[in-house]
Amino acid sequence: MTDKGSKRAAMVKNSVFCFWIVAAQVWYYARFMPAFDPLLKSVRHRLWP
Amino acid sequence: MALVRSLGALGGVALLALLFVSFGRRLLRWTKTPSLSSVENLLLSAAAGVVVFEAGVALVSYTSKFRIGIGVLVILALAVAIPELRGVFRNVVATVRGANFSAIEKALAAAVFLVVSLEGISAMAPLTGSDALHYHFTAAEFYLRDGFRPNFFVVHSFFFGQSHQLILTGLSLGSEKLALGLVYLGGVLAAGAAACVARRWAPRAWGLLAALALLLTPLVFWQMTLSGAPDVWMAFFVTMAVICIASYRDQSCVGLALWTGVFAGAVAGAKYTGCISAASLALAFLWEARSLRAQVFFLGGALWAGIWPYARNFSWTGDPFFPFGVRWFSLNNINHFTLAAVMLYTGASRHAGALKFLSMTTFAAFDPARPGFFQYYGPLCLVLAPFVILAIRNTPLWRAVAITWLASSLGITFTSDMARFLLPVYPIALAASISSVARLRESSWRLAKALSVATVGCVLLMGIAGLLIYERYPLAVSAGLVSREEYLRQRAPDYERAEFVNQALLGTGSSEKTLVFFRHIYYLNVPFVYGDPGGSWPIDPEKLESPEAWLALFRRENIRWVVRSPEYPAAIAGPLQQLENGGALVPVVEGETADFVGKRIEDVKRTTPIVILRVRS
Repeated sequence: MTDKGSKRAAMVKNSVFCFWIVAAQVWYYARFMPAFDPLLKSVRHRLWP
Repeated sequence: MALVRSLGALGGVALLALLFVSFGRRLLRWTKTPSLSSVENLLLSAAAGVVVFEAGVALVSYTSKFRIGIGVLVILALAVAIPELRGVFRNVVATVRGANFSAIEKALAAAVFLVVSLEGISAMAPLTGSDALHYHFTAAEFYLRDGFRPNFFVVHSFFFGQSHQLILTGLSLGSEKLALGLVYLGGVLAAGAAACVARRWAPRAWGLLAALALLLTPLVFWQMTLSGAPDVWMAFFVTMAVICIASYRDQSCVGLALWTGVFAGAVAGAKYTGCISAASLALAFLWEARSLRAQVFFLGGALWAGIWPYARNFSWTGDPFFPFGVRWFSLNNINHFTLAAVMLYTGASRHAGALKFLSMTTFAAFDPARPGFFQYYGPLCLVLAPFVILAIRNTPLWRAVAITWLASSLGITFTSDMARFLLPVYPIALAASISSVARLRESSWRLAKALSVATVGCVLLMGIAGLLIYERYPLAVSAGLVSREEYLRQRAPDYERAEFVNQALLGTGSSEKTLVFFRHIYYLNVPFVYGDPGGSWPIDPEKLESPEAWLALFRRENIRWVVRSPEYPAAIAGPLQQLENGGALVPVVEGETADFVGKRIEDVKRTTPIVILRVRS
């Protein structure tokens, strides 16, 4: 592969993995939001009993 | 003063840890087990010392003389350990001196020390973990109070495994804090073991990062501090077993095969679901050591270390997995209602598919019906999963980690479906995930590597914030800023109910029992039986349909008092209400207590009535 080709391949590879890193975290935190509900409720309850 | 007591108890835990390491070192010498790296040797010694000590406590149980027996065991272990103390000190000093940390390693090591210290102080808070108040600590108290005999009224007490022997040890030495500290010690050792696994793949800083990430995982710090559950020891034993399996090909020594088996047995003996992790370890060992002799030593070690709870349950009920195997082993002793409730509680009645398996393997499974810290591993294993796939090589350590991780995930997915039960394999998965980032070549992975490191950093920062928020109450009570009573009233479920019953009934007769239906019974100081059919084997709604059946139960069990707080459990409310209406249950003390509504983390309390009724003779 030429220098240009290998650079492009590395960029594509990096982009795919970066997308995965961000997407996986968005999915994960969206899915786990209900776990934080009680904590948020607790804070709300303390502020406005 | 409270802080001094907390630090004193932590000092006691450190002394016991030193005892276990020295004792284990001698055992490793006796079995001619080859040396690994200096830190691995210390951890291997600790694991060996603890497992053999646990087996000793299991043996002592049969005498019912717990306090004397455990005292003798400690003295015996000390006698064996004393000649090794100098060697252990030398090993520790050599490890620290030879470390030669870089600036980043020093910062990471300081962070690990800080987090371990915070968690240690937090772990010294009075017991408030829900399951611990129901059975982890309560079952140990049953043994100390009543001797080594079954208590069918708390069906979860049959889950008392080998790691619970450490709780029993702490309580028999007269200290709840020591018992809690021994639970915490398992987490510290697991972090050390995770660092060792990561260190085998990557530079030392990544090992320290893996340890820090483990210590800051919400599920892990909850297990180490507030839960009062000894499951985190399984994580330590699995990781040490994996290190032994990975070292076996180079060393090929039966001592190593024996200890691998012993650690696998300790995992199986800790919890029923531990059998799945132990079977995964057996599979990994079979792959690495295809010799009959090694397998015999592995199996012998595993049986010797892990058979105790199963033998006990078999001798008491005919079912080694009581109550889960009762349908096959002990047909005439079935309480269908309680069995269904226990299966639902442990997740054993649910079914899972391939997607569930994937989310379990990456520690991203979540049950929205039961949100809470006990499900929260953090996103690192999911986010870094592709890098693990890239980093995986055909080496003994990768094979051992991959087989144990995947086979355990598969087994847990299709038997219990609860992500929490994957804790034993979490350290190896996390070590593999974090060190896989280190293995990416900088030249072609610059962006992905930078984003991965930033993700790890963010997760660690969130972990620190979570730790400080979640542990603020226990830290305050351990440091003496809040009194023990005040803390328990605020944080321990059902504490006010237990306190009410204690105050009303203490001194009313030593042998007469009180029937209670609230779940958290550890703080009750009067003789009692637990009566919720969701967790009490003799309270079978099918058999206790009439008031007469209840009166017979009261006579048989010498029950003099019944506590209604605020209502009876729905499945048995009918006949009990009839007894009350007919005058066979007479209200004698009435009051009000405050307790949590919904999840404890919501911090919402409600005052409800509580009535103590006397059984008219």
